[in-house]
Amino acid sequence: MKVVEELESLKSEILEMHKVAKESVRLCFIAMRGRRDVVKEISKLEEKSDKMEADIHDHCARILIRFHPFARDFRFTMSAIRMSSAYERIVDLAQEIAIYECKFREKIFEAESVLLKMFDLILEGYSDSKKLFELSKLDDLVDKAYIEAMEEIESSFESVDEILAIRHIERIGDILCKIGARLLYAIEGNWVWIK
Amino acid sequence: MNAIETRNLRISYGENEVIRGIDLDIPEKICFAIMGPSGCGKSTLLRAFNRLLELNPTAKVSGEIRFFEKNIYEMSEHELRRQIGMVFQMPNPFPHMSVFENVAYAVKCNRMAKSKKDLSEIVEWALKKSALWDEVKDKLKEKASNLSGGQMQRLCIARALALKPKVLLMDEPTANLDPISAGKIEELIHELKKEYTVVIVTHSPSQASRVADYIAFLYLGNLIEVGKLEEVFENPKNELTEKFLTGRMG
Repeated sequence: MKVVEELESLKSEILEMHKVAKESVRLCFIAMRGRRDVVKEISKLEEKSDKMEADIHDHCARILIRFHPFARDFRFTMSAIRMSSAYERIVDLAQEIAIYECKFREKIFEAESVLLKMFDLILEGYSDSKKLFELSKLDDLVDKAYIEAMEEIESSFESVDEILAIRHIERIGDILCKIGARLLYAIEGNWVWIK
Repeated sequence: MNAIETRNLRISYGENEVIRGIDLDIPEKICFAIMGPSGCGKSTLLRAFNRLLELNPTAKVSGEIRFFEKNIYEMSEHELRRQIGMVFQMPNPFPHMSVFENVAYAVKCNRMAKSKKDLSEIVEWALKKSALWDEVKDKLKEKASNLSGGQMQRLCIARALALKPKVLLMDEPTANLDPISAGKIEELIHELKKEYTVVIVTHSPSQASRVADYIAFLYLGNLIEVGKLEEVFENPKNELTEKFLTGRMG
């Protein structure tokens, strides 16, 4: 296979992992609302993401050894290693969130649509890298939800699950920003600290 | 200080302009790689640095070339070539001479040795510097043509180093060598650049990435991009450089 084909195939693997991570986040909010049946589904996604991460790392190693890529090819290969690990971490966090019980804390659920929108922006970023700069504004909304939820929890503490859940949600927002920064580096070549 | 500088350097063979107004600064004691596709003018540029182009009657050179701030056309060719050594793509030892004589010949011609002992010491020093001594110390009287391709190339490097140059020009020095011999030359370049300025022409980005500190990318006689290795290889500023490095040119 030529380097161009290898990189296209690597991109498809990353996009597939993106889908898996987004689905796990979507499901973890459903689980928090009390639908315990989806927890198993997330566990399957977690196993899948572990394997995908390892496969992507192997694929990147093969590309580096066989083709010695430079310029945008090098940047994309290096970014793919970091991005796959970041997606895998998101699925881990989603799996943990799914076991927490917080269906009565509405503030926590405010972050749901924002996180899903962040996933969509990253996807759009592959064809229009300017979109990636919008990630930090959305992450600010996740942070706001985190702060407000924590203030609410302080005044009416229900369980430690709520604290852990919102903390993990805030972390997913940060990781999505880092994925955006990595993608921007791969496409544009510049290091931009999104957030 | 820069070892070599060019300003508005133009070179043509007859009516065909092959180097088109190049400004280049090559700092001292680094390895500087000149890279580009076949026919871009990289070997011509290298040969201009020690006035080898003057051996070609159709070659015309204009603009400035400075060697440690001196205009090279105000130096004698002999003095310039003593200070700027050259290693070619094809190892070219004097086949009828022994290993020892190959290195000693230019030293004797330049009257750099005061005695036979002095000459032996210079030859030994040059062979050690070129990482060849251990392999040839017991066969110094054997003909150079008995050596392997990689050993011959290191012998040519020793021959150039014996004259104590400041700059070593290398025109695709590993093009005709197997990977092990090529690896030895690349290791040697890493050692040499601590004391000398090495300017290497290569068409291989992989080789440039292994040995060079700075990269210049040439295309159709124009200097397209120049910079530190990491900058050019990770994030080239010019689309042509990007295409060449990623193999998407042509």
